[in-house]
Amino acid sequence: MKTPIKLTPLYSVAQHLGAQFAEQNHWSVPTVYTTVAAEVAAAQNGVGLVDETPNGKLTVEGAQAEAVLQEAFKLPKLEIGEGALWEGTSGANHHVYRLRGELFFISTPPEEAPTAQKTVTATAEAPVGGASLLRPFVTVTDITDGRSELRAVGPASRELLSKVCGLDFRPSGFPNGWAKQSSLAKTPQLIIRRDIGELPAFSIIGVRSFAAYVWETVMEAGYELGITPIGKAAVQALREK
Amino acid sequence: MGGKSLSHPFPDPVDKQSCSHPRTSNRVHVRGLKKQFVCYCEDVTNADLETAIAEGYDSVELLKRYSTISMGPCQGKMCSMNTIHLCARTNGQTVQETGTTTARPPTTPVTLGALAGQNMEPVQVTAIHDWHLAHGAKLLNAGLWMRPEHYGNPIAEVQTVRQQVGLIDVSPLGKLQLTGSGAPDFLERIYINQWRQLRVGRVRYGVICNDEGVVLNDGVCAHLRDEEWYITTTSTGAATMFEWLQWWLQSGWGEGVHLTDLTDTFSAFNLAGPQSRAVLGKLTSRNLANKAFPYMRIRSAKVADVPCRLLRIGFTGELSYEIHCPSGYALYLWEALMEAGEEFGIVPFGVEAQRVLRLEKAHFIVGQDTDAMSDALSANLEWAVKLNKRDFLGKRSLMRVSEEGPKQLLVGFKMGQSDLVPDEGSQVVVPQSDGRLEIVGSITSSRFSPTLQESIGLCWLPAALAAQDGAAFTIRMNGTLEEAYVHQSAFYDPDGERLRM
Repeated sequence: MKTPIKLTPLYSVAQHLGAQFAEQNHWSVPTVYTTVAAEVAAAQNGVGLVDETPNGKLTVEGAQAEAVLQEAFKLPKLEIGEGALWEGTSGANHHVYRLRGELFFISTPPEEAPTAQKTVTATAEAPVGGASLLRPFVTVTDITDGRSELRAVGPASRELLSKVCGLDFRPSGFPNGWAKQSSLAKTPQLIIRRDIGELPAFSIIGVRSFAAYVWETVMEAGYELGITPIGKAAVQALREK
Repeated sequence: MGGKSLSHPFPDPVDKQSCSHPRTSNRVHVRGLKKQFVCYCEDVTNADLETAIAEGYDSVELLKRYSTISMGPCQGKMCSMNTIHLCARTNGQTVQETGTTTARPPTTPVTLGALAGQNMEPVQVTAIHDWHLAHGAKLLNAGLWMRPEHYGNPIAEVQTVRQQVGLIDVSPLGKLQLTGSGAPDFLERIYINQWRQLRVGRVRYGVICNDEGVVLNDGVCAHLRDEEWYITTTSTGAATMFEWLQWWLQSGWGEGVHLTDLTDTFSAFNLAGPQSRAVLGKLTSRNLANKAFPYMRIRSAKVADVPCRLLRIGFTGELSYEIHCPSGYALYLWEALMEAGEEFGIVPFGVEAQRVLRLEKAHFIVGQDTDAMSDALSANLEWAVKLNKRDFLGKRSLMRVSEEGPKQLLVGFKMGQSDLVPDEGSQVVVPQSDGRLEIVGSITSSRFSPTLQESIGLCWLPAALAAQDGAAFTIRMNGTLEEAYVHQSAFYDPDGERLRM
């Protein structure tokens, strides 16, 4: 029997664009479309669009969610929209964002969501004060497969997103490390600003069935800005710079 | 567009003085009829215009402002000429003397979006979309979703499901996770039927109504673990249902309950037909024997090494498994199922075949066979309505319907002539002694059943008529009157034996 392989909703789009794929933690991901150097240059000078759907995604809901997360990952108190990070077991960064008073979103490297889910669940189920009656009611759900994650990287990413979304993308209106829920191209999306070094970068996270439409719409909006599809390798190169 | 060039849009070469008859139109005002509308957008009749002129609004500009004629969506395209002619005639003037109202741009309605930029029309596709296209699917829009209607021959798809096995992509089904100790109470309040006693591992069909007892949605709900439930909703009602449940959770019923939308997280396929167990058995080590995994149960299992939730339910009326898997694996699993089914003659089937299959079982579709007035008792769901349980959404209204008895009932029918399929929406009529036809009901679903070789459907009939199995009634079809007969049970396998094989 073959090994099961996971595909992002943009698999056929990337195939169409002539991407080279590599398997990473069960997911088939586009590594490069043209050349890494060209894609790096496009992102540094304009804007690149990358499919980061394999990133792990969890929601943590409940009145005691904040306390449980603080306990599990030694996090600071977060305002709504604010994010924080910690080093996961693999050494790679995990991020958490407060979406509502009682709802948090966790972003992990690919396939690390189950580990993070176990940690939060175990913390929530640990008896508080020895009495099981005080067990906090927290629901941790792995929604990795249900959400696509597109990321616009580059100095023109602000202008690009301003064309398809009503949020204020100026640095003062959208600080690095913050998350906002909004409508983008008429679809509900969670937008997270996570810069790569000096390069502004915004992740667009929404239900996977809209992903092909969102990709197409954002690519069209970015035409005048020279938008370029970039692969995982280019993002890795940008990170190392 | 300047006003100047339009100020005399109808230049008349004939000298006014030499024209003995003022130019009026015979296009308007046909004598002998009742109301005659000049403006279809704003509902203005010629009588309204004549009254307005008699009241002193006799210039065409005043007439427009007073009557709102030409101010609707058509912006005068249908009514301006007639108004000017009518105004001219009533005033005893010529059209030239009457003049026109002032035309201003835009002369054609333009949406702001067209001026602002990109046309954004969101579309939802499933993880199997490209496979469907590559295999000749004809697509249809279901809400924002694009779904295969069929792959060339829906009749053959129906027959294959009945005789062998078929696979349909039902990923757009709404999928909701309900967790917490408050979940059973919440379910009891939201649904018209009972949940508290449903044991872990079991699945039940459920109906959700609003306060008026009107059917909003239906689907199944499975008891997954002690404090975890898994709800499916109709495909087009998924977003609405999530909002509906969330609204009640945030309005005082949310104690100890969390709701998460998993619609996109899981893709879902229905493997249906007498050979479905054999196909699935090739890909899983889970015991699929009828005793180990009976009808209306849910099981976790690895299928082709993909972690899945299997629900043994069936909209089609055949032995069938609804397979829910993480969406990333969906295409891999779909292809594995198609490959495993090859030796059993598996075919993919679309929404059209599913509509026929469910109609043969007389299952209704919310929104197709019901509307915003259809309460659960009238929709023939009396068996599901539990009026003896504590308060639930719709209980008061359904109690009243129950006391008074439904006026209309949703019921199946067979056509007298098996090759006639009435259009959906056709009227059920009762011919009167004076030759008129009294409308007493309507057809909501109708198809030719390839299994039964008969024309069947669902319709709304007066309750007394619907209560008589086999009673004849009349359907008006394209001007002719055709006979049909009430059919109360499922058309195909009324005892549901094939589901429990």
